[in-house]
Amino acid sequence: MPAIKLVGILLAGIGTLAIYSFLYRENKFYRLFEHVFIGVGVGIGVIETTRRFLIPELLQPLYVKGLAGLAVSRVVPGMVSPFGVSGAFVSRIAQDAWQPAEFLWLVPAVIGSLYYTIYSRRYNWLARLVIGLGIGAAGGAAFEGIFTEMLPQIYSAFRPIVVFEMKTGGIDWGMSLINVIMTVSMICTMLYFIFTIDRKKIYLERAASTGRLLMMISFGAIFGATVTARMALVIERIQYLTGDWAQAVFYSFYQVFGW
Amino acid sequence: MTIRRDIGALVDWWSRFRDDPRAELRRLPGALRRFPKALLLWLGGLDRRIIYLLTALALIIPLSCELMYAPPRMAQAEKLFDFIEGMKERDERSLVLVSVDWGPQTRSELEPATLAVIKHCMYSRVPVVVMTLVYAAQGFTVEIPREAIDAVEKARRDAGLPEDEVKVVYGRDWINIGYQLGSVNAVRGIASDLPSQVSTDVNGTPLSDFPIMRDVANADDFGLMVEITGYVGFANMWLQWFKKEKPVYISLACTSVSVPESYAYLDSGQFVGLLEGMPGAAGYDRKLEETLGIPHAEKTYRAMTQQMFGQALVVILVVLGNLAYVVGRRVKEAA
Repeated sequence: MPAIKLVGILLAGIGTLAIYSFLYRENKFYRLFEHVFIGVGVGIGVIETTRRFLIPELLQPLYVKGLAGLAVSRVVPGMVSPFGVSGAFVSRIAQDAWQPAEFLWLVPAVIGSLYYTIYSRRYNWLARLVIGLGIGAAGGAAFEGIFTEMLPQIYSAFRPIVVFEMKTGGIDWGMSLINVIMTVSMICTMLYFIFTIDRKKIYLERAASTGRLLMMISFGAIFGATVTARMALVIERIQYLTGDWAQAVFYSFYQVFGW
Repeated sequence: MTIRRDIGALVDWWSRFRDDPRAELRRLPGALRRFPKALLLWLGGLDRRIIYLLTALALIIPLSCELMYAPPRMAQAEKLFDFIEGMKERDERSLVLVSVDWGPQTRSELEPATLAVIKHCMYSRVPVVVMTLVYAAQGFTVEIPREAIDAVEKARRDAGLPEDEVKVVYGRDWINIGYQLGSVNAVRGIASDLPSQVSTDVNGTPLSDFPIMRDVANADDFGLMVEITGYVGFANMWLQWFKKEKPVYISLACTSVSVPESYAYLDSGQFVGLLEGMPGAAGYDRKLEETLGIPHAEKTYRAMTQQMFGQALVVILVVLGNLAYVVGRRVKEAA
């Protein structure tokens, strides 16, 4: 097993145990790995953003096609001319490199950088412009997209109370019951959230209470699903600790102590 | 401090029993009568660390005893299975896009689902494009297809297929276009004009060099999109933006937490299938084994068995906890 992989597996296992040690009580071992975890997360985020976005999407176009191209075309004018000293080949490289439109990337870069003015008392209003711009763009996009997502949901909410079977023509009692439950649930739950009408009438109050009850049932299901999901996380860690990590520990002992 | 108190009470009882066993035995019938109530009251004040310990034991014991039960059949997972099986006959668009949008924190639930779907596509010779919108998943887009290829090639060899039909070929049967930065913008870009959004595969080779991507221009060229995610909003994003002219069929594999809200999209027909967390993935794996003969992932089956024991413990603790609460309230009222 390569040493770097071995160290990685051992560290991952120790980190897991450190985080789980919090279940007993708060301790320094847990604190250390909590900070390591957050630090590693932020570090990877910064590196990935720089490598995947800042360099290829902003710095490279600005430098290669913008600044460098401009320098070549301005400093060595003879090279740009196809009849110049270096001939058509160099001329073509220089002309391809020099793309003034690439400088337009500076506009979003400058606007985005205004975010950092949030640290200045005097100029923090500039950050609000950027935040507003972001929220506006996201809101507009969401408004456009929400129709695609929500309209089919609204259509499917209108269901027949009595469903007939296609083959026999008789009533499909099971499906009809499901549709009735679904429709009643929807109406009652919506009634619970309508505060603009007076709910003095007993049937409205009862319907709203039923809506609340139905929501509690649904929240119970969501909570149960959450427990299942959290348990799955523990299971994966236990499999890791008893599998790869235990093997790595034994292997390390064997390598170091010979037993 | 409850643990110390409980252990202290046990030590006290033992010392009393050692000093005068007969007296303690005389008290036994009365103690046995009071025992259920006392036990429930004790459970009501049970230290949380004991519950953690019990949970750990419930999850470790099935693993150490090597218990493994077949998972239940999952109807929604089978819908996705049937959809992929029927793709070649139904439509000329048989390309599947699998977006691996999850990180290490949801690996336990979504790795089996990703593996199962990719295995199925590769085995059924439905070309599959793998990508991710999450930088933490880049490693998984390489590791999981490799694992799937091993399983598929083994299954084909076991089925007695000739060696030239066994191989899963990169660029023909599948491709990895890697991490796509920009979430919504990336989805919109792929949907409207894929070649301008993604120019190379994960290794930097131009997409036009691969037969699988030669005629792919936009979302209309995909027969199915499978979103595998543990993040809020990612499935909605694909639903909202991944389309051009023709409707694209979308399926979801999500964590158990997101399952209740995902049913609404399944009901409305926006998702053609749903892999509901680990049980969904295990059910899919079972279907693959029963129908196509692809061996199941042992890790998934074991995890499902562990989960069964863990959930049984949770149910028992919930029931006992509620009983303890009722008994405790009555005792308080009586006092």
